[in-house]
Formats: sequence, C-alpha cells, structure tokens
Amino acid sequence: MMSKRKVKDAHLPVGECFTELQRILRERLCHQQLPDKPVGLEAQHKNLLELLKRTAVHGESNSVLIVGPRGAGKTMLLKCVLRDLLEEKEVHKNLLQVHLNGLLQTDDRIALKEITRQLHLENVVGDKVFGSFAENLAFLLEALKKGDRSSSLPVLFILDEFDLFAHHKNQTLLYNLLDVSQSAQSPIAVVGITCRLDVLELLEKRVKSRFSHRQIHLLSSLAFEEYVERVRTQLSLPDDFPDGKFAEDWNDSIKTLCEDKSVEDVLQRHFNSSKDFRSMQMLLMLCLSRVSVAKPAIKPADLLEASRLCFADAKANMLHGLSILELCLIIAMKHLNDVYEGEPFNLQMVHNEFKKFLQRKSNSMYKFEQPVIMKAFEHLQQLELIRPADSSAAKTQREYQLMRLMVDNSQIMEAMQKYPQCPTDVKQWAMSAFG
Amino acid sequence: MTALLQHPGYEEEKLQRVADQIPCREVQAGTLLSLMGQPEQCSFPSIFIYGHRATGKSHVMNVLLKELELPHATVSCVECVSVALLFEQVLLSFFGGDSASQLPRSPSLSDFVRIYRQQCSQSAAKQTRYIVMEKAELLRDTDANLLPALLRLRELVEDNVSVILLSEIVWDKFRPNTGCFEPILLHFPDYSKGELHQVLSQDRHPSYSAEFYSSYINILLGVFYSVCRDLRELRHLAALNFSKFCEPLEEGKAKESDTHKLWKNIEPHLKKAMQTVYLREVSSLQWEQMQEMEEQETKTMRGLSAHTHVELPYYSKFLLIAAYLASYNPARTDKRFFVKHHGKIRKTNFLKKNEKTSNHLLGPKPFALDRLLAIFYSVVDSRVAPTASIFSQISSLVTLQLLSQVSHDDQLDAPKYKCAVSMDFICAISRTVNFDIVKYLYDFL
Amino acid sequence: MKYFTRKRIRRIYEWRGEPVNFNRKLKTYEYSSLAISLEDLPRTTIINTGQHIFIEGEDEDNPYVAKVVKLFGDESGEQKKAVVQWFCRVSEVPQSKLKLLGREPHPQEIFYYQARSCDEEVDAESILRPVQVKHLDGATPFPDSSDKETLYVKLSWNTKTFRVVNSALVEGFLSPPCPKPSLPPSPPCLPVAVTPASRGPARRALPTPDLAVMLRAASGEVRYSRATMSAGKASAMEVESLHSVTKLSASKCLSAKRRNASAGTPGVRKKLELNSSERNSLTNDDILNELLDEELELAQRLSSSPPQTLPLAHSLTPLRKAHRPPDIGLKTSTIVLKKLSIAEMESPPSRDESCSPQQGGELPSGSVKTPKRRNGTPRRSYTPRGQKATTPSRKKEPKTLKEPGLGVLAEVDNENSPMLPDAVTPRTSKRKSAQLVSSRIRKQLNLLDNHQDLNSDSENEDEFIPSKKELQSSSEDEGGDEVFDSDEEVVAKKGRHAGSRTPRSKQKSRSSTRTPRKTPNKKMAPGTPRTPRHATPSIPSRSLPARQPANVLEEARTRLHVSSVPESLPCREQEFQDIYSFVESKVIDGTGGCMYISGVPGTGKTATVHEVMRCLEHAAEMDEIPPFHFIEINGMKMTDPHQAYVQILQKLTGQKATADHAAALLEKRFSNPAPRKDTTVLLVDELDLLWTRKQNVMYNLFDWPTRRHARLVVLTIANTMDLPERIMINRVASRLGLTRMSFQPYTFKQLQQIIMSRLNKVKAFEEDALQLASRKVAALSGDARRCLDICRRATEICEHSAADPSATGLVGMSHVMEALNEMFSSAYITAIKCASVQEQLFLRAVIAEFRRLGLEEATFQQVFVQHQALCRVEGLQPISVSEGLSVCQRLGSCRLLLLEPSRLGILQRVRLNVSQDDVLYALKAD
Repeated sequence: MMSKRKVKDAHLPVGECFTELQRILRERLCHQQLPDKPVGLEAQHKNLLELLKRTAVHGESNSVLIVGPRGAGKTMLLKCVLRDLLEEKEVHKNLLQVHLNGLLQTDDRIALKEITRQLHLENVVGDKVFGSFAENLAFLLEALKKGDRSSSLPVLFILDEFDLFAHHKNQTLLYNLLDVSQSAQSPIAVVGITCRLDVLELLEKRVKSRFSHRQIHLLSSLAFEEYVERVRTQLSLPDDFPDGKFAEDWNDSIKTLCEDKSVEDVLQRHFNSSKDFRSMQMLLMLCLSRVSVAKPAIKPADLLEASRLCFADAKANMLHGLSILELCLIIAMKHLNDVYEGEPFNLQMVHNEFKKFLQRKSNSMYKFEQPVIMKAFEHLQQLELIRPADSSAAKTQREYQLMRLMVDNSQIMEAMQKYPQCPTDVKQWAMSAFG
Repeated sequence: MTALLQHPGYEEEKLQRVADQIPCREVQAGTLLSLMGQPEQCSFPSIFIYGHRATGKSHVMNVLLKELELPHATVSCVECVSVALLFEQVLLSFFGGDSASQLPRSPSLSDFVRIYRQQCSQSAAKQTRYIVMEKAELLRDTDANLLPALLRLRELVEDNVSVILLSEIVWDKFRPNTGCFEPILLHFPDYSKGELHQVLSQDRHPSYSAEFYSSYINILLGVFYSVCRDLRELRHLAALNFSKFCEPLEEGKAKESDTHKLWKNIEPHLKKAMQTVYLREVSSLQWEQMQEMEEQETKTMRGLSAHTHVELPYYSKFLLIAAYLASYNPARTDKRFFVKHHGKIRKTNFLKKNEKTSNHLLGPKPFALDRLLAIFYSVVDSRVAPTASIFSQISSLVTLQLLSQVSHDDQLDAPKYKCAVSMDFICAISRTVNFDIVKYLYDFL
Repeated sequence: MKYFTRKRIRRIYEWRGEPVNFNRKLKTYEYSSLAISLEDLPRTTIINTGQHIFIEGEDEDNPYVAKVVKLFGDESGEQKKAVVQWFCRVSEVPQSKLKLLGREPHPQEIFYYQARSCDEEVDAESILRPVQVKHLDGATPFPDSSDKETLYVKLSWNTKTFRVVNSALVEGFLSPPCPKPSLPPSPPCLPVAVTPASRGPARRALPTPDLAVMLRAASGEVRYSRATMSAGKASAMEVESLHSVTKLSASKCLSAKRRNASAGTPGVRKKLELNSSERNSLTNDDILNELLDEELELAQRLSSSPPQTLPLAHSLTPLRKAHRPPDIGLKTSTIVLKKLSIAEMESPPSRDESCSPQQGGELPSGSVKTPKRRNGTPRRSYTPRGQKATTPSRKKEPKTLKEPGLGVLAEVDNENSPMLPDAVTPRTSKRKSAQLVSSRIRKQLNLLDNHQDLNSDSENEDEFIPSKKELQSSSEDEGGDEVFDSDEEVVAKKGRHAGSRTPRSKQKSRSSTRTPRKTPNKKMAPGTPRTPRHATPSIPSRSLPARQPANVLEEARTRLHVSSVPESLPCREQEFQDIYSFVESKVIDGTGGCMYISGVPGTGKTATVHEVMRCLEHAAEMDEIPPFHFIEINGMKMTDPHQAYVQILQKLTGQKATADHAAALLEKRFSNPAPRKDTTVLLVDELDLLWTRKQNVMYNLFDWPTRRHARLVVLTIANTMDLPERIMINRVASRLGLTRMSFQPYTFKQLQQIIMSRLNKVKAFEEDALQLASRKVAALSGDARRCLDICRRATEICEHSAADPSATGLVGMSHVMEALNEMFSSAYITAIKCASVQEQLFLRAVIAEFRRLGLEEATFQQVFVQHQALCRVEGLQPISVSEGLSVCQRLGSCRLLLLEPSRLGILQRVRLNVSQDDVLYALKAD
C-alpha cells in the first residue's frame, strides 16, 4: 500500500489531469450541461427561437408544443433557445419567465400559487401567496387582462410534462393561459413540453380550439455514423483543457476506441435498441467511471462490460439469487404453465408437481415440509416473481390461491445456466420440456 | 484485504475502514464508488440498486456514505407513511431543522422543491448530495408523480444531488406509464456459499477456535442453504443452535476434532429447527427452553406445531370431517359413499374421464348446509337430533376459521361453507375419533 | 335611517277626502291630496297633486324638489305613495356639466329633470312640505329673494344638456308619463343613499375645481352615461337589500348599511371628487376652525340635559332635521350647526380619495368595478378623523395614510406601526368593537318597546335603526371612530380573516410566521386568507416598447392574430342583428330575459356578443337607449360554479363576499324593486361549467330575469346545442326559455371573407393560398381560430423560405401547404419511422401477434416470443426480457402503444394506439 501511494505521488500532475477530465466529462454526461448548439435540431431551434423572439420583441402572443420521445433533447433544446434568446439585449430585460412542471404542480391551486410567486405579483409577500384559490385565479387573470400588447412585459410560460396539466380539473389553467394567448391582453407565450404524441387528444375541445396547434416534433432520424460521432464528441475533451498534451492523447485514444470493431458492434447494439441521448450517456458514464490514474484510458473491454451491465436481464439476476428450493418451485411452475398453457396455479399443484419430481429422481433433494414450501412460495411472491391471478385473496386459503408466473422461460433457462452448483437432476428436470 | 478499494479523492485509511466493514462486497462498493466519483465531482442523477434481501445493499451504501463523510439523507420508505415525512427527513439531514419546519402542513412536491432550492441557494453544495431510498418499491404505491420527480430531482432543484434507490424488485416493474429518467441499474448478487461461510464465521464465539466454528457453520449451511440464503436468518439460526452444537464438548463426550460425532448430535436438531424456528412457529425463546428440556422434547415438539391438532367437541369433530368430505368430494359421489347397500356402483361408473387434477389440488369446494348435515348424520355413528347445539357448533367452527362461510351473510336459509383445514389436520382429527377418512375420500379410491 | 322611527313617532300622514279613482289591476286608490301633521302639534300641511314639494334627502338644507303628479295608496291605506316629477338642484349637477350652463347658477335655481333613468315613484311619507317653484323665462334675471322656500326653474336637465323648459310643464297640471305604481311599494329610502358630502360642502367650499378631478369626473361621465342626480337616488336600491339583510344578523345589517352608502354609482363618486378637490383648497386653518367649533358643539350636547341628548343622537346623522318645522327654534339652530359638522365629517374621505396615490394608479384602468370599489370608501371616515390628521392627535394619524380601498381594514394602525401592510391589522380591536356594537344593538332592540323580537323579518329598518342611533350616541363617548369601524369591520367580514394569515398579525403570529402549516387551505371558505388589499393585479411594463411590424408579412401577421379585434365581424350579421335587437328591446322596456347561444368553438359567439355590447354601449352614450350595466362571467374562469355569485356581485357593486352571502345579496338585489335602477346585461360564457348537482347556480341565473324588478338580461354561451336538454333539469331548462341561437361552423367562403376583412387591403396572400387554407379548415372544423393560425404560420414559413427577408414575396400555396402539414398531420407515422430498430421490430411483433390471435390485444410475453423470432429472422442477436420491456415501455411512453401498469411485468397487456395500416405503411416506407 505504501508503495502504491508513492506511485501516486510520482504521478501527481497526471492525477490532477484525470481529476479534471472526470470533472469535465461528468459535467457533460450527468449534469445535462448545454452544448453550444443543439446538434441535429437546428431547424427546430431556429423555429422556436423565432417564435419566442416575436413574443419578446413584437409582443405577439403564441402557444407551442414541443413533442418528442424521452431523452430526445426537448428540454435541452428549450434551454438552448432561452440562452440564445436572452443574449439579445432587446429581449434580455423584456421577458418574464414562469417555469412549471406537471410533476410538481399537480393541480391548478398549486400551479396558480407558483405562477403568482414567479411573477412576483403584489399578493406575494416573501414567498407566501395570499388569497384563496379563487382569488389567486381572479388576481392573475386581472393582472394579465390589464396589460396590452405594446406596453406590458411579455410573459413566457413553460409547462414541462404538459400532458399532466391536461389532467387538472376542467383544465382551467390551460384554458385561461391559452385564452390569454389568443386575446388582446398582456402578451404571453405558452410553451408545452411533452413526450406524448397524443397530447392534443387530451385537450378539451374549447381548450384545443384556443391552442394555436403549433407543434415542434423532435423525431430525430439520425444514422449510426452520427451516433458514433456523437459518442466521440461526448467523450473527447475540449481544447481549453489545461494540459493540452494530455487532452490530445485522450482524444486520440477515444478516436481509436470509436474505430474499434468490437466497440462498433456494441454501439450498434445500443443504437438499435434506442437512439435516445440519455441511454447513450448512461453507457458512456459507466465506462468513464472506471477511468483513473491506474486505468488511463477507456478500453473496448470496458465498453463491453458496460453494455453487459446495461443489457443484463434483471429477472435472471434475481433468479440466480434464489435458494435451490425456490428455484425448484419456479421450475415446477414453468412445467405447469407448459402443461396447462398458462392457466393460473396454486401452491398445492406446484407442490404436487415438485413431489412428483422428487419421487422420480430425488437423489440430491430430500422432501420438504409443506410449511417450508409455503414460506419459499411466499418469498417468491414478495419478489413479484409470481402474483395472484385475481384479487380474491380473502376467502381462499393461501395454498389454494391461484397464482401466475411472472418469469419468462428464457429467463429461467438463462438462470439455470449460471446457477452455482445446481444439481444435475434439477437441471435435467428444468430442461425436459414436460415434467 | 486483497481487493482493496481505491479511488482518488478519498484517503486510503477511510477506504480501508470501509473495506473492513463490507466483507465480500468490495466489488460492488468499488463500482458504486467509481460511479459516485470524487466528492466534488457530480455523479449520475439516479442509481437503482437491486438485489435480494440481506445482500448488503443498504449496508454498503451507509458504510460508504458514513465513512467517507459525504452529505446524505437515508430514508426508508417503510417509515414514510406520508410524503411529508419523506420531504422532512431529506431537508432535515441536508439543511437542518429550520428548513424542514418551513414545509406547510400537507406539503406538495412543489413546496419541497421550492424550499430545497431556497436552501441550497443559501448553502451551495461543494460535494454531491445523496438521497438513499430503502425499500424503494413502496414508492410505486405513493402518489404517481413522486418517483419520476425523484429521478429528475437533479434537474428540478438544479443541485448536484443524486438519488439512490434500493429495492428487491427489478426496475422493469417501476417504470411509470409515461416514462421517466432511466437510472443506472446496479445488481447486488447474493452471497455465494463460500462468501456466506466467510461472513458467518466472522462472528465466532471467542472461547472456541475458528476452524471449530467454521465447521459448525459448514454443517448449518449444509442443512439450510438449500432452503434459505438469507444472511440474517442464517445468522440467527447459527446463534441459536451453537450452544447445542457445543454440548458434547461441555460433557466431554467429544473433542473439537471429531466432527462426525458433533454432526450426528446436531443434525436432527437442526432439522427440527427448520420446521419450527425457521417458520417462526416457535419463538427463539421457546426454542432455547426446549433445548433445556431434552427428555420430554418429543412431546413438546408435537404440542408445538400448531397445525397438528386442536381440541374440539365430539360432534364438532364429526361436523368438521363431514365438512371436509363435503368440500373435497364431488356431490354426485355422496350416493356411493354414504348410502347403505349401494350395490355394485363401481368407481368407474361415476368416474369422469376429464377429471385429471384431483380435488386436493384445486382446493375445497363450497357446499350447502343441508348437504353437510346429511353427510354428518350418515358419518356420525350415534343418532343425533338436529338440535340448535349442532348449528351453534357449526357457527363456532366458522369463528375458529376451520370452516369459512362463502355465501353472503344475508342468505340465511341456504348458507354455503368451505372447509378450511388441511389434509393432515383432518387426518389427525379423524384419528382421535377413530374414523378412517381416507376410505371416504374420492381422490384416494 | 333612524328617521323612519322618528317619523313614526312624530309625523302622521293621512289621505284627505275619498279616493279619486280605483285602479282594479293594481288595487290602488288614487287620492287628490295628502295631509301631513305633526303629532302633538295642531297645524297640518296639505299636499295636493300638482303641488311642488320637498322630498327629503340626507341634506336637510336642500331636500329634493319634485312636483306631485299622483298620490295613491292601497286599500289598507298603510302604504302611501306618490308619483312625482323630479327637479334637480344646482348642487346635484356635476361641476363638469354646470359649465354647460355658461353662467353662474343661481343658488335657488333648480332644473326640470328629464332623465329616464330615475323612477318617479316615491313613498308619500318621504314628503316634507310644499315648496314654491317659480318658472322664469330664459332671459329674466333671478329675483334675489332670501327665503329658501321659493325656487326658480328656467331650464330642464337631462344629464346631457340644459334646455329651456316651458312654464306649462312646471306650473301646469299636465303630468309627464309615469310608470305603473308598484306595490308593495318600496320603503321610503331615497334620501338615505345620497351622501350629503355631495351637497353641503359643495356650496360652502371655494369653487376651485382642479383639472385632474374634472378629467376623472368627465371620464366617469362617459363610462356611465347616467344622470349624476340619479346617482344618489339610484343607490337607494341598495337600501332594499339592506332591509332584508338585517334578518341575517345585526352585524350583517350593519354591513348592509355600510354597503348602501358605498353602493353609490359613479355619480356620487364624481361629486365626492369634485368637492373634495375644493376641500383640498381649504386651508388647514379653516378645517381646524370648523373642527373646533363642531367639537364644541359635541361637548355642549354631551353635557346638556337628557331631553337634548336625544336630538343630539340624531344630530350625528345627516338624515333628517330640516323637515322639522321651523318653529322648534332652538333645535333647528343646533341642528344647522350639527349639519355643518356632519358635512365636515363627510368630506375627508373624498379628500384623501382624490389625493391618495393608489387612487391615481387605479382610476385610469377602465374596469367597471374599480370606481365602484372606490365608492365604498367615503362612508368609512364619516368621522372627523380626516381633518384630525392635520391635528397632532397620534391616534388618528394613520387614517390619512390609508388608501380608501382599505378603509375597511382601517383601525389597526392605531395600535401598531403605520408602515405595516394593511392586511396585518390585529383583528382583536375590530372584533371587540364589532361585538360591542352588536351587543349594544341587542340591548337597544330589547329596550325598544314596540319591537321585542330580534329575529322578526318584518319591519327590518326598525330593527336596526335604534341600534344605529345607539351607535351614533355611543360613537361620541368613544371618540367617534369605533362605531364606524365596526360598520366597516362587518362589511370586511372576510377582511378580518386577512389578518389571520398574514405573518405579522398578532394572535396568529405563531402559526403563520414560523409554521405556515397551521394555515388551512380550504377553497372558498370564509376563513381563507385574502390578498392584501393594497395588492393591485398588474404585469410590470416593458422597458423599451414593443417593436412595430416592419414589413408586409409582419403587418399581416399582427392583423391575422386572433387577438386583434377586427373593425367588424363579417359573416355574423344575422346573429348580430338578432342578439342586438333582443338585448335592445329588453333594455328599452326595462324588462328581463334569457338567451342561449350555442356553437362549436371558434365560431365567433363571444366575439359577436361583445360586438353587440360595444354597439349598445355606444348607443347608450348617444342616449338613444337607456343606460345599462354590462357584466361578463366565464365558467372556465372560476374555480367552482358558486364563484359565479361572487364575481357577479363584485362586478355589479364592487364588494367582496363569500359565495353564499353573495348569492343572498344578489337575490335581494334582483327580487326587490328599487327606484332609478337600470338594466343589467349579464353574459355567461362556458355555461356548462356552471353545472352543479342541484343546478342551483343555473337556476338562479335564469330565474332572476323573470323577477318583476330584476331588469336583468342574461346571455348564455355554450358549445353544445342541446345543452339544456342534456344537462338541465326541467325547472332550469324551462326558465332558460326558448330564445336560442346556434352559430354554425364557418363555411370556407366565410372563412375567406373573414381573413380578407382582417387583412383589409394588406396584400400578403395569393388568392388560391387563402382559398386552400379556408377550404381545409372548413372541411375539418370551421374554426376561425384555426384558419387564422394557419395563415399566420404560413406567413412565417414564407418569410423564412425567402432568400433575404427584405424581398419576400406573397404567401403562396406551398407555404400554406407546409403550415397545414405542420398542424394537422399526425406525428405517429414519422415517429414510427424515426423509432429505433428494436422498437420497429417490436411494433411488427405486436402486429404479428395480433394477427395470430385475431385480437387487438396481447400480453407482452406473447409479443416478446414473436419479437425474438423476428430478431432471429433479421439476424440481430435476441434481446433480454428486461431490454424488451424497456423497448415496449418506451413505445408506451409516447403512446404508440397502450400499456397496463408496468408492475404486471411480462403479463401486462399491449394494445396499439395507431391503426395497424399506419404502422405497416410507416415500416414499409423505409
């Protein structure tokens, strides 16, 4: 250990380099640090920017929805737009922003209080908002009504998780916001962010009619090459890295990594599974986390390891941890499923099946008491590997309650493969198509 | 310690201390640590750790966070009956009492996030903050927005915070319907037999040698491993039975070396333990008492397991038997069983081909009261009048939950019942009234 | 108020001679003359029809002048009523209008009053005494006679202009058209409402009107084209509500009283401002002097002997004295003095009204209720407090700081430092006073020999008048303000709760400052915290002004924005006509009615109604039709149906109340007759949102118009044509009646016309482009909003597509096409196209499984088997179940698939949210 420390001391500058590297890349991968320009979303960026600029500069009210699957970069896009928007001096002082999130503002009462707070209307003291729900609404509407296009500050309403707002009672908030955006009151822009393509069907028709039907879709059809390129840019260090030499080496290593065949396969696999940005970041994060002085570069092996971690079958992992008895029960259930094509079963049947197996060839296993089996059974239920077929648990005894298996045969097989010192007869039993 | 944890930004001895406290979990701890990165670097927004009970999930987490002195809040979702408690705990452990007191009575997520932001704008974090949620599967039952919000917390509060979820259930069963930020999945595999052995042998009795204890553990595992791999259970059992294991030594019958004798001595004992203590049918205390009273142990044992016998009135026993027959025999077979001189009604005559599975697999069938009585009169040898006492006994059987009433209470005229006792229980009962029930059971013809 | 009881004691009215004739329909007897005698005094006064009379106002010096047109009563003879022709005094004419006169008005001059808007029917018992009115020709100068009993008519006044009036009208016996007398007649309440502030000081003050006030007055004039004189009297209708309110509780009745004073219409306010301005010009010394001797008076009265304390009690109330016959010399003298003091007392509120900054900030904003809320204030500081401010008395100090709007919240500051926000008042003091008052009321009521019963709904006024008197007298020994506070306090019932939440309020401080969790958050409950009164809703204004449209396209865009109000509404002429005539007729003959307007969104329902209202209001200004209120509520803009009451009440009278209280008040307002009340037009948008299980909100809305005195026109708007049939129970639907109108979706021609008219002459679109847009929209929904939005989007696209922004051509087909695609094409297909390989595979697997099962539904497990198979076919390495689940749930999260909760794991059922054909098409494409 002493020796190790010595080594470290010797390489201290290198150590610092790695610390810096970790800091920068982690910022990028974990902290959603904004890129200079949204890659592959230029058109949408321009569109949105124009739109918001018109609101800020001309005081023209608008409403728009940003729709795209999870991790497609909706929020990132919006943030970029806002950043660029606020750079303009004319806009900078002339824009109020209200950020709402459907996850947080779960009903209109909360939402209204939050809006009032963020607008610093006069019924706010400290961070307390006075007045009942009704009064807050009236107050806000009054405030917005007073303003007019030319003179009053435009307000930018950003509703993240827009679809959740559509579930509020009567969609009061949405109606009013959109109504303001369509009438000659203080200029506002309503920007909704959602991942649901059917979001418009959620809107009541009078609300829908007030929405301008502008939608910005983030459906990137990016090719594999771009994907790989993205990986490279994500991992490579910026030019302003303190130690230029180190950065150079690192970037080269990344470059070589990306050209490696096995790496390409892994990436291809991920690309096939999902194009979304965040899952890629997760993969890279797993690789990056291993990098240290001791391990100065990302090797293809690391990537393989990481992707194995990502694609590991959770259920199989859990099966692996079961006791042999519990495993046997699972196998018995599998057989029952095969026999009675997926009909629900109860403990008695499973136990019976298990007993049959023991009678046939019970060299490795000895017979268990019913209660012991029961306990194992219940443990399986706790792990949600099996669940009651129907909720009529009340009247029936536990051993007769009908259950369903929630594990796929493939998972069982996989588990059998790597199960530690699994008795051969059990293995055979599992393999044999019919009990 | 061979596989020593190491990570820049932490002192060696701290890591050393951690490593000592988490035997056989260095690998997982290592991965975790590397994911968390150095304290001031930001780590992944959310990590989901799953693994079986007692595989050291929360233990490793806590040891890491405590020993490395990272700002963290550990919340067990079992304790948080309301989200308010959850928010309070988090704020409390991050920013101290005053912040927690700012929460309104029934705080919404909005309030929580607002206050969090205020606080952390006042005291900006140099180090990553960690929120550890134990038993995270319970989060699915609380309000639907909580889980997605937590996974998104970093973005919502704009602070370097990362949420760590611990659960027995796999992540696939967590995903909300409209999706959410995916956490990094981390699996804590169960301890292998060797690892269990290693861990268990650590808490050995000082007065005995290590190898002696480990041999004991070997025997213990030999019995229990196939049934249960829960470290806690095994610890408990080991502690309970060790004294018994040592008895021969006390009496000087055996030396530590001759393991075979020792094994002979303990093995049946452990088997018993599996049927009793393991199932919590007797408390650990009773179990220890039993070990004192060796001689009448057999009796006590019988007396112990609840489902072997129960004291009942004479007719009640027959009623119960009748009920059992009624609910496990098809009604059409009653003729064959209970009518005198049924002549030559062979089983084949009423055996339906399609019945593959026996009734004892499908469970008891409900039966009407009069059928029960009919069977009861034919079963009981002496003549009994249908008195009120009979009916009251039926109802008392229901209250004992030996019978269960399936029909609604309002159906007074024709109530339906099920028999809720197991095969061996009813056998025991019928033995006491020397009635051979198996002869009357359709499944066993 | 008190005057009624006094009157009961002191004056007797009786008919002289037999009824002249009998009106069968209304069961009224008409009499030729009326005898007024004072009890314990021999002489009686005879009032004949055609005679000029004084009708009492709050200001004893110059009561209202009128000419008796008709005297009548019911069989029982209890109710005596008179139909009169009003005259109005100089002081009743606003300064701004007096300018029209072109000369200095003669103090004795009155004008023949010719405004429709005040009702000619008064209670005979409000007649004071006959007066001599002389008609003078325009030329002849005023004879300067000192006696106040002769008045001179030269001109007639109709709230707009002065006209020469011919003597016949004045002296002659021909009676102007008068409405049917109504029974049960209203209690004699006219005088109460006229705030004496309007007159007394007005004359005494040095006439130096300042510009701002004039302006404000003028604006007010425009906004409410109504007779200033009517102001005072119209507000009498408030009194109606007051009477019955008393049954609620003593405190309530106080509040009601408070309200009457406040409920004055702009007229009152204008006058207040006018003379207030003049008051400003008064030097402090004047004020001080006046103060001093008035307090002197008080002192005397207090010290004086019992018989005198009683008159003293009255003396505080401006109401009556003048009609006390002059021969009670001593009294009158004191009275006059008193009256001065009263007049004094009343001016200050108006004073700080006109000078308080908040006021300045508020007034310009033209919402109907702002000025009204202001009106609430004057009553607040009837106590000399206003002037006291100038005196070193610390106690009154804060009062001047106070902004009128929150007179309600006043007292407070006596105890704690003035700089606290008003909401912060510790309510204890108020509550004390309130209890004090109510207790006194109770005591007093029991003392009163003739009415023992507290809860009797009959004779309401009697119930609280004594209390009032009590208040007055009590007010003296308690330094004068407490009582009025308590008045306001009650009105501000909710106001009191304000204190209960604000951090610094005394008794709640623990709960609110440290642990906010104490504060309950029930909606609508009276207990809910309220916005601090000083809070004015507003969005800050921008530093540099909005940029104006630069080029043609931008111009077009602004014109095409839905919000831009067009000069006219094309394609809705017919509907416009119908609604217009409906409302107009109702307004003209002062009746009420309902109308139900339906139509899909974006067909211009609300717009049309607003257009109608604009026109009608203009007409009212032009005085083609009588003036009317226009009120608008929107079902979507309230948090719960019962808020409708609150909002209506607020917009009508500017007062705040809890839902059920508001309901009660409105009920009163609409069910009781009131003189000089004008029609209210109520627009109820998004009617269906007002549905409640018992439907009482709808019921009331449709029931009020049917009341005889309501003068309420209700226009309701909703989306569905058959709403009444679908959701309304019969008694509601029947009240809604059958006047219905449905707006058809626009045809493409109409849409085109709309755009053209909006654009007018701005050449930005090609013909066919417009046609395409309008045809498309007409085919889809006929929603004008859509059409406009599309065109706007098209202009943007056009702008961007152009090489350089300067040289942008017209908007063509292609641009509109693109816009249409953006807005109407469903994203599903593109989404599928852009999905990852595995996701696409999974979709195919789903379809394959559906085909196999012949169902539209399958479990994940089944689909997954197919998926694995497909993977093998495609030569991809098969994926694990977990990955499969994640793929599936990703598809579910963007709703390409519909899934069961994920905790079902592999057993969850999967359904497609897109048609199989779409999926296949999308997958084929690439």
